[in-house]
Amino acid sequence: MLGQAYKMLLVGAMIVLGILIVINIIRSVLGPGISDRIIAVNMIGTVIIMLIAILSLYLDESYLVDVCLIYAMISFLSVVVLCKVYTGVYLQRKNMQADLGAVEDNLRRQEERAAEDTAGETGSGAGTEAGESMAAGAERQTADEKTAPGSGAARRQKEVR
Amino acid sequence: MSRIRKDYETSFFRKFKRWMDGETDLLDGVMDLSGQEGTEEPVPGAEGTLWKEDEAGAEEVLREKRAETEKERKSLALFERIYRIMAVILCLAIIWVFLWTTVHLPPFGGADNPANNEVPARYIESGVRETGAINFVTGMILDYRAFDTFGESCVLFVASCCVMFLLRMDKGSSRLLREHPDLLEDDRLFEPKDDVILQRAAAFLLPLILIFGIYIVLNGHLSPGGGFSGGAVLGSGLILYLEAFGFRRTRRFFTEKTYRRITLSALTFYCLAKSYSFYTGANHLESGIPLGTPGAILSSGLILPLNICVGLVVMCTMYAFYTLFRRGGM
Amino acid sequence: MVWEWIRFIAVAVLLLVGMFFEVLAVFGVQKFKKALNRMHAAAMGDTLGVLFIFLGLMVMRGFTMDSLKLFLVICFFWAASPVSGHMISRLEAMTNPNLGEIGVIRTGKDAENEEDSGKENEDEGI
Repeated sequence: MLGQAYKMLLVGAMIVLGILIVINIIRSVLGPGISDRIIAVNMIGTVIIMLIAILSLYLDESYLVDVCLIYAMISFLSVVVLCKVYTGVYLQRKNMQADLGAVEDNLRRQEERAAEDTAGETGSGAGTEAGESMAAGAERQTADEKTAPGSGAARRQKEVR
Repeated sequence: MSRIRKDYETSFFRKFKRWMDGETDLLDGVMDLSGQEGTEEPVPGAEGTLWKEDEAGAEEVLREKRAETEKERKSLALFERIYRIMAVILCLAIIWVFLWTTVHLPPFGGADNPANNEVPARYIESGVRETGAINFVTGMILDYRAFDTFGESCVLFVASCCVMFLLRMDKGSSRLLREHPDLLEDDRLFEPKDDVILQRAAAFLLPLILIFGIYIVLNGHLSPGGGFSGGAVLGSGLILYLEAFGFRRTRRFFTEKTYRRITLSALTFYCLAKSYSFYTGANHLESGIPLGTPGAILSSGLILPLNICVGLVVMCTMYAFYTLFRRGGM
Repeated sequence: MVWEWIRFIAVAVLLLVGMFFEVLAVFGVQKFKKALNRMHAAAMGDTLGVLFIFLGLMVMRGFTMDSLKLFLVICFFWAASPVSGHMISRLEAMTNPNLGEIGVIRTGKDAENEEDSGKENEDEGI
């Protein structure tokens, strides 16, 4: 009786997790951006780890928990490597130096876009002032990098220390 | 005659043949032909009218071209859609085949499964006594079938050698690198470097991963695991270290020279140890290697050192693959 | 026997809560439109869903080596999942030009320079 109840519980959980995997696969196919896909794949990894853990109790095989640990490691590593590779590819296409400066460059682009949108209006509130100072900081950083390529990382390390 | 040849030139079969021969693209041929006709078409005549007619003809040709490219684009879009639908259907078919096979597999652990013949019986009956390994699988792949495993390790080594032939980049390999040797030094030029969060996390996680990998390798004859899986975990730990800290740090302890030394010494030790045990076994001699008590860490004769060898080879191969595909050197 | 049934109910409740969080995370990933919002939903499944499901399995298993390994999986997840989230958000912040407004925490000189403006902004917000 008790064993049957446990079995039904575990099988029900596994079925629900399987359905979640299918939904996530659809999202990873449809996802408009690369990061949406990576998020979906990461979630698939999480759900599969839970599935393996439940399966190890269902089959009463303790070695499947080891598989769980290894799967968690590999999925974490895959996310890290994929993110790095795609960031590198994107920046290589844009021909930009990789650093925190890239994020700020993105911010500056947004500021420019906002400025284009509100062209003609010369309003300067507190928010836009902050934005301008951000843009100035980004410009400084990019100028630094132009003069000495490869010094961006070293400079940031100095800042961190 | 010429008309027939012209028809032949524009016929589908001719285009298909040219495409098969690799002379032109299927779609480029159409565009080129129409362009040539357009340039040859104008006929000499009176100057004033010629100009007008020419322009009109050129416009017409242009319009024709545009219509043709429009048609081509439409057919390409259709092809793309069909291609996607076929890809989805193929994926679903593969999933269906796998699920169908899984459903029709014999029950797990059934007594009258087709895999139950005299070979597993022998393994189960006298496996522990003969190899000293509690884990049958490790005893099988590193004792009864050690020659097979040696071939697998050598295949890994040969594969990484081939990748090295094809993808390795050094100062002599290309003109760009010869002109700018600093490109080789400053690798990963376009990637985010020195991510502090990732570095802290790696400093916390890496010892766990490496210890887990070493545990899997050393406990291969007692619990599930062994050289291949443990080596894969160790290699992934090295890759994580590389991702967090960059090539400049990994090059301190892992270069091509270390790769060569580790792999060659591991394979040589494997070969010598197994040659010795094959030789004594074939001649019905005592090998003189104590089997120990099954269940202890230092037991089961040669299986533990062979596991370590296989783990080292797999670790080096994984790391070498990653670095070679990533940057072209270690 | 009664204790066994109580244990079963505890396991069932923990598993159901974990499944609830997981379903919620997947629903959020489907529902939100931007990648950063999706990450926010997915992180819930990575932390709470994993915690409750593995806690349920640990209760089911009792005090054994397996429970320790399951606990290790939870620890690994809680250490690794924020880092992968950080990597994904960084990728998104670098590559997507239509993000809307995002704030950046800076270190060193830039932060010192902009402390004043930040304070002003905070005051305005309050």
